[in-house]
Amino acid sequence: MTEEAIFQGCLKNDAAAQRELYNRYSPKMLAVCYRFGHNREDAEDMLQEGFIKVFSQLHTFQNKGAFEGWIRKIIVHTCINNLKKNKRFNESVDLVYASAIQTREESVPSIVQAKQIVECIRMLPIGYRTVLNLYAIEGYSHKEISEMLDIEESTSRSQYTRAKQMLEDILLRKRIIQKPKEKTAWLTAVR
Amino acid sequence: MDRNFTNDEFEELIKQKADQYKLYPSEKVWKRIYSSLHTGRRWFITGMALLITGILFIAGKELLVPDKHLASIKKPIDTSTANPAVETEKNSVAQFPIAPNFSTFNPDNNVQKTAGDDEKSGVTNPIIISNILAIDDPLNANGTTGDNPSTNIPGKMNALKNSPDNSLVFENFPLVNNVVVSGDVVKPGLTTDAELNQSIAKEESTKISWLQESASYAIPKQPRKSRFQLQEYLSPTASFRTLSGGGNYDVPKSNVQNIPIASTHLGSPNDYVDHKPAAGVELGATIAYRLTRNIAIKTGLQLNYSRYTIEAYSSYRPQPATITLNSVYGYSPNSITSYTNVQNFGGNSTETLQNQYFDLSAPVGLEIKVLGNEKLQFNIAATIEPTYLLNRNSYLLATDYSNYIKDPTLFRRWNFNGGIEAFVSYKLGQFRLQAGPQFRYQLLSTFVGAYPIKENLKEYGLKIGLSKSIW
Repeated sequence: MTEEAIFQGCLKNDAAAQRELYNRYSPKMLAVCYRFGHNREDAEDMLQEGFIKVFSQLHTFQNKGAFEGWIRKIIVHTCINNLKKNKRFNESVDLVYASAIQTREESVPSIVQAKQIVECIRMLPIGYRTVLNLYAIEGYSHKEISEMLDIEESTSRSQYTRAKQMLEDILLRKRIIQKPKEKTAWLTAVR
Repeated sequence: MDRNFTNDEFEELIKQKADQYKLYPSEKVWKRIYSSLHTGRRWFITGMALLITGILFIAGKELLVPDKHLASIKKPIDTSTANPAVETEKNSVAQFPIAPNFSTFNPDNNVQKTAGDDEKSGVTNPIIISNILAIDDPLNANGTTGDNPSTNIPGKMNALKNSPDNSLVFENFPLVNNVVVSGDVVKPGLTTDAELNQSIAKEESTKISWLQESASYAIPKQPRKSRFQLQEYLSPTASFRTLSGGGNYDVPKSNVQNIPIASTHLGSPNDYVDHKPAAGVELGATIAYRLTRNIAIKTGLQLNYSRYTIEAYSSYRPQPATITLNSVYGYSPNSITSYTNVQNFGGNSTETLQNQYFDLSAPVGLEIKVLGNEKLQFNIAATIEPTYLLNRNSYLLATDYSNYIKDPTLFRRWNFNGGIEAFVSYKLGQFRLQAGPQFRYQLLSTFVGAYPIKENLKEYGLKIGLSKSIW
């Protein structure tokens, strides 16, 4: 089924087309929700809410960009609204807490896996994680992030810097990445 | 997203890996999305539930509450409260022993006298004596009790019934056994008791003669036999299925043969699955309209629960399962791929799956009395049942028969079932009990046409029903 056929079917509230759209995009979108959410159940709740919005607002999609990008935007906003509702991203974060995060030393992966990176991101405090997700992965600017989260732009910047530093530390501790000796390729997978 | 993004390698790595990551949501997420998008189904279910409740309520009322007409006939009469005036006058006036004087009514000289006896008599064949007004005339002629409501006999006497032993019994007539006569009743000129008794006996004889001559026996009007009959029934069933299509042997009907995922197994899917019948149930109510003495048409609502079990295997790691769909127009077949832990041919441990179906149907059919009398009958019946499937969470077999997956979109909502039955019915009072075997077969596949495997459900049951004439 082509994307256009799925789109037209969904506009007609056709269950088969809706299911096809869901099957196609839900794995990626659940990963997005998982990065923002507290746990898997949270992520599934966000995914459900997000997809209901997607189906109900499908008529507003105007072929200006990729369909996936449009869905992703709705999902991300759903996640942010959910976090704001639960006031989770306002948790106070400081470096003392950050340095106390425990990492499991026993598993030394041979290759850098996407799952490992995502799990490490999820180890970050929720405020850091949210800013990192929005800036580094979803590509929002600090200005946009400040508006989305109702925080100062400078706060977004500082949170991001700390988040990046903390994530790097976690990845190094878990030996998922290795700091390069030279300036080139300071991130390489441990083999 | 208008930032001047200066990607360093670290950020690039994070983004790349995060974008690669995928998670597969559980089936319940889609179910919840689906149910919130398609609310019409919930309205339909609610409406049907209300309809069934209404029918069952009316049916229950009709079947359980006794007939009002019969209740009014059999209602015992409390003579003490029926006319309070009698009680008050009992204390002040002499009671007239009238019962023995009615003995001429009874050919066997066996007269029922008291109200208590009336109640015990188990009255049948009521004979209404009309124009009973005349019984009061002799008393009124004597100018004694004309103003006394307790002696206003026509107002009290409504019916006279014939008891089983051919004696006559008054019903709803409190004064017949206790006729009160005031002291003024005694006729002037009659001085001795013997004369008085003789005079009274003569008067009574006159009354009885009049009754014998004038009473007309009204045959009670037979209630018109209703053509409508309400029936409620329950049927324990053994339900199963037949599978067809799907395999390469059936390729002309399916266009899955030219794609890599096409089944490599030859023959019917029945040969590759281990499935067993399981117990189900049917519950319903119908209204039958009798066209002739022997033929009736009927319709109603029925709730069906059918199921069967499948022996399968579960695996620790989810496996991709693909269902290749028939294309409606005969080209570019589509497919649905999903991940599942349930496999058909082998796995880490055995697992028994249960495919359950709840559906509502509206049977429309014909009932024929083959032989029998009013009491005991042998009937046959056939119905066609438009059916609405309420749940769609059963397992489907992948096109290559290797796995089982769930996909609600591949289930057909509306279907048709056909049913045949034979039963013996026995009349028990107002009700008619029936019992007999039945067979129900799903005419269209459980799945939509795009799914290459066809499943037809079948049920064998023992139908037990209770019916009653209404309206």
